[in-house]
Amino acid sequence: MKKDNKTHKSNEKEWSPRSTRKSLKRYLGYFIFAAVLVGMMYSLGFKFFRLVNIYDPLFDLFGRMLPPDIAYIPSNLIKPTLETFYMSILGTVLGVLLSIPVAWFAARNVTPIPWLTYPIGRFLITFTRSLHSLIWGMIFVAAVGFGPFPGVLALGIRGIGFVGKLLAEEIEDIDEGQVEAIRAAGGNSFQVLLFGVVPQVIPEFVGVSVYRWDICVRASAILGFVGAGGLGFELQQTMNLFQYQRALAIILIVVVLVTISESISAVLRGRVT
Amino acid sequence: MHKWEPKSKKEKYTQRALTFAAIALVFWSALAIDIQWSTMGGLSALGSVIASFFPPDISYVPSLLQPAWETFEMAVVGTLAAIVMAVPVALISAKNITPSITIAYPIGRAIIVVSRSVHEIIWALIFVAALGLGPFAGTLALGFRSIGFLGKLLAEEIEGIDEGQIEAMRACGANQAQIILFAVLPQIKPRIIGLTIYRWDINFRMSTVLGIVGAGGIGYEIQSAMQRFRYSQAASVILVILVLVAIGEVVSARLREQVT
Repeated sequence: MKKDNKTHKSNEKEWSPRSTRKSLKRYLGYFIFAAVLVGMMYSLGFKFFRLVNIYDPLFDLFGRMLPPDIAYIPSNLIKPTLETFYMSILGTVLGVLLSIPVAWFAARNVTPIPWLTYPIGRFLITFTRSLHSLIWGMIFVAAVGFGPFPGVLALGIRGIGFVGKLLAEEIEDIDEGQVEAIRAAGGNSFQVLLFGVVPQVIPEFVGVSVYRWDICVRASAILGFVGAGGLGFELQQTMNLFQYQRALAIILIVVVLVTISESISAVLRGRVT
Repeated sequence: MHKWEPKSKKEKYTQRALTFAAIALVFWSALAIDIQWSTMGGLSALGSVIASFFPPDISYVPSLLQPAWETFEMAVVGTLAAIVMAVPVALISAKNITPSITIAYPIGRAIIVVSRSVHEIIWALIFVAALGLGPFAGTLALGFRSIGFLGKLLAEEIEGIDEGQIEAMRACGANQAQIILFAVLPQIKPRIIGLTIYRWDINFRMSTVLGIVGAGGIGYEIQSAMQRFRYSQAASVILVILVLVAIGEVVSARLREQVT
């Protein structure tokens, strides 16, 4: 309400040049911002000579990465690549399955007990979304040990927030008429969900799942950094051992995987919606 | 809303085939993935590890304030550096105002693709390998990755601007630089600010994990706490991260509301 008034006023107000006082204030603001920024850069280690000199070490590193060690791929990288792929699929499925009840709780119009389940659903979405999948990866590696399994769990839990949020929004946007019709015909709340809500969100549900898979491919390529399986582990090992040509081969595989999954996901999402 | 029609046979079969393929893929992955169940302690071990995160070691929080502030600084500086570099990239990779469609346009697009195709963490790993450990490498990684994101969205925005203003400037005899300065940039200015804030929010989340590869910020703290099995300390790091992310979300929502 308040905001509406404000925009309304600013629309009516005639344009006038800024008063000297106002522009002084503005420039002072810019100046303070710039000063803070410089302070931040200084404390992060940005110094003029360091910035000027970043090119040599970077090009030196790229030089040592070239040419990529393609021969390393068939012998050592097939298994981790497949593992990354499997992790992305299973992590997506787990996340989607877990997010269905959460979305049901967190959609205002269908939540079973509004004062109780709605906040629970919202909390689960916010909580799982706020932590990066690498942090989830670390937690599950601590809990169940190294390997792809904690990776799948991390992707799944992180997926609750992502899929659950989008799905809950879709559910809130459905056509209430169909829900009402089923209720009027004597459907119980389970039948209302199954025949009134679910059919309306199926296409979006499939679209969101495919989108989530595409994100999971990216995430599962780095989960190995914390020991949760996939290509990330190999990448970290080769970098630690200064085997840069092998590292570049792995990065190339990641780029190819990500590009393929992105285009598959775009095509599939185009079909559904 | 288009009129509802029954699905054609072909459509129905492709849909079934795709569904079947998806289910088969899931089962195949579940069977093929190499999980060593024997090495896992089962549910009770999982429960006891999760339990050891509680209660979080609150006394550890004061020592996390400095890394938390560093995380914030990394996100701010990385994002601003990225927007400064992304505007020229966007200018050359927008079809309507690129100086040359044969040379500059592909270069701009290539920068966007390269920057976007590799994950932040991998960029951070590369920058750490080249420039050494610390927030300097992490900030550059954030900035470099953000160029692609910002450049792509800004280029799309530029392609959608009102051509009339450009024409008007050109008719007055303005050169290319003047056209960009007075006809293009004012039109995309709100979008530049909005996207910068949005990207800052993303970068803030990202910078919480860059420390895992040694690129500065609070990620290093959680990594070292976990490696030393100090789970209650790790829990307080997680709490700090949750607060940081919440602050980032609120600030970015407020700022974007003000801009638009």
